[in-house]
Amino acid sequence: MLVTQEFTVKVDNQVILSDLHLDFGPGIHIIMGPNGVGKSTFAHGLMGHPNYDVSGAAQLNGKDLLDMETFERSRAGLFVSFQNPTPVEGLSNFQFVRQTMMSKDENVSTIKKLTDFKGHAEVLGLPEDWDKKQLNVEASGGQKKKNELIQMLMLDPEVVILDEPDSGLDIDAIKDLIQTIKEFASRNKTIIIISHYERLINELDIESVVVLGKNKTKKGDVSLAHKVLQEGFKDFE
Amino acid sequence: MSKVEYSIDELHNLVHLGLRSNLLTSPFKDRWLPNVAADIIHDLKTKGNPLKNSLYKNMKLNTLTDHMNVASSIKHRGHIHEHDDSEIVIDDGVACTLDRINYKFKLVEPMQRYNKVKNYEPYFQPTNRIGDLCLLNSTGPLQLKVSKDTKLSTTISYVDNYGDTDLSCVLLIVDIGKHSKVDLDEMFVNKNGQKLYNILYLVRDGAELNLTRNFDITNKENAMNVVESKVIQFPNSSFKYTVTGEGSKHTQDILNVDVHEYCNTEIKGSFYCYENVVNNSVANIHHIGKNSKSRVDIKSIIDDNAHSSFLGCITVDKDATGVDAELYNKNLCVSDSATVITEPQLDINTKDIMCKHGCTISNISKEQLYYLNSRGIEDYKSEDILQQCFLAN
Repeated sequence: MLVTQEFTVKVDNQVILSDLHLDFGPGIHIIMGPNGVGKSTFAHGLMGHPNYDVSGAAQLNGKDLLDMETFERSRAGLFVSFQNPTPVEGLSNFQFVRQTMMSKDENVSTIKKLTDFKGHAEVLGLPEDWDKKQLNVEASGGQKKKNELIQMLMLDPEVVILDEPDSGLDIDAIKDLIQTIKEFASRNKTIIIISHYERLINELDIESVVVLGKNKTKKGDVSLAHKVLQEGFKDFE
Repeated sequence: MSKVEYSIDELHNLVHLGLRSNLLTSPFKDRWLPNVAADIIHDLKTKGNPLKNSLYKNMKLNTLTDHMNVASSIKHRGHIHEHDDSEIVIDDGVACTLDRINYKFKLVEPMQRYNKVKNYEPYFQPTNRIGDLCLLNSTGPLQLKVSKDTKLSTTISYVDNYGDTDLSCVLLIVDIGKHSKVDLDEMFVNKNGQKLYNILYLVRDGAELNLTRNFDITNKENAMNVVESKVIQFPNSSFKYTVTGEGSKHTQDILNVDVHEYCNTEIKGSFYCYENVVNNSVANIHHIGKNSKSRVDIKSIIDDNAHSSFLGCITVDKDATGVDAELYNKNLCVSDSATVITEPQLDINTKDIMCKHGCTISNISKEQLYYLNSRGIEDYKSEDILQQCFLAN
């Protein structure tokens, strides 16, 4: 359960998001909004981006997120997939995941986790040696997005914010993405997807839709998403 | 018992005094490098104190010159304790090898009758650098000679078993025979004081030398190491150099490589400098012959109050067409009080070559740090991972 109250984010002293009152329970939720309205800022404000000045309140299963360091928010069960995942030369995809898991449990079984990692990579159609590739280096946009999904599956967080997970994916990959999200959601997870992609909205069982506008925010059911898809954001400018 | 206290800054005026038996005062001096010694003395008279050489301008030299060496009239020849894990052990002009019957190489000490070090005189020229002082003050030149067509893998430790308070000077000639393949692991063990090294490596025609150099990471705070290496690559030879270290009170690793035609040269270094250490690297690649390839890639992480300098130079002679050379120095500075200086130089005297260079000083990327944090890895661990990645990549 993720709850925000009076959630406000400033970047370089400029207010990007103001006074957001939102709550997300188990299930799949969609966040939509015009370009530049602050959808990604919402995700990274919750995650604790160092350049963001955040005020108000945000709770994850009753725990005060804003009182935590970024790594503590992750350990508390929050996961944000990046729209443009950061490349790290010299660090392999699996070593990164291994390090994240070891930071929580030093006794984690490397062999077991490598087997799991390779299994996820295979399902998502990534190359056989994906575990050895450098993290987000010389990977296509779609491969980076899939890699974010692998990290999500390996870390098994309670609340997930996927920032445009469909961008850069081909038709087959979209199918894999939808299947992955469905399976993950079936485990009583809270999944918030920042996307305008109609196929995702049609094929997933959407619990709620939030439209972030420049001056107003509206929350509704999946019909709100269909309305936006038909009419655009003119009511939210 | 008499003692003389002196700084390395004064050494150029003291060599004639014979603080030790050296290349000017030893009874064997005429069998060693008499012409080179005379040339260097002449150079000292005309050019003055080598420590004023502009090469040292970025090296925080006071960490070297502030130290007082103590020369004593008590002569005690220590005994080299054979290192468990090194095949060859060198301490000043004394050396030993565990493998006393080895047909792949000869280790020749200065006093030995069949020392033919004089043959190497043409490869030494005055440089007006500390390496000259090392040569003059050495207790004699050592030779490691590898026969032609030999495959050899061995280790050298440069130790300090005397435990004296004077500076140590090692003059070594490593001669790799034609078409030999040699893997040489060097370990420079720290002493409480100064150690100067002047090492000449001859990589003969078609030979391959893979040199791995490790600087001791213990007792760094009182140790000063100045290593000046000259590598001469004969045609069709290969030289790969990998160096690691954490600096010391004052470290200089100065590498000069003369590259003749159809050679391959690869220099890789990684240094992690923290606390108050000083670490200086110099790589001078001189392309003399045509169609050779060289790569220089030195990386350093600099933390706390550490000081790091790099000077890299690629020189391509007029006749050295078809050369392919790259020079990179990357520094990750993770402290506001650390000092990093990097200086690339190119001296290209011909057309029809490829040459790239790049020197950078950066901090840990905030975006990378955030990315790792966002996956549950705390700050210190994230920084550690990113530093390891920097060196490993």
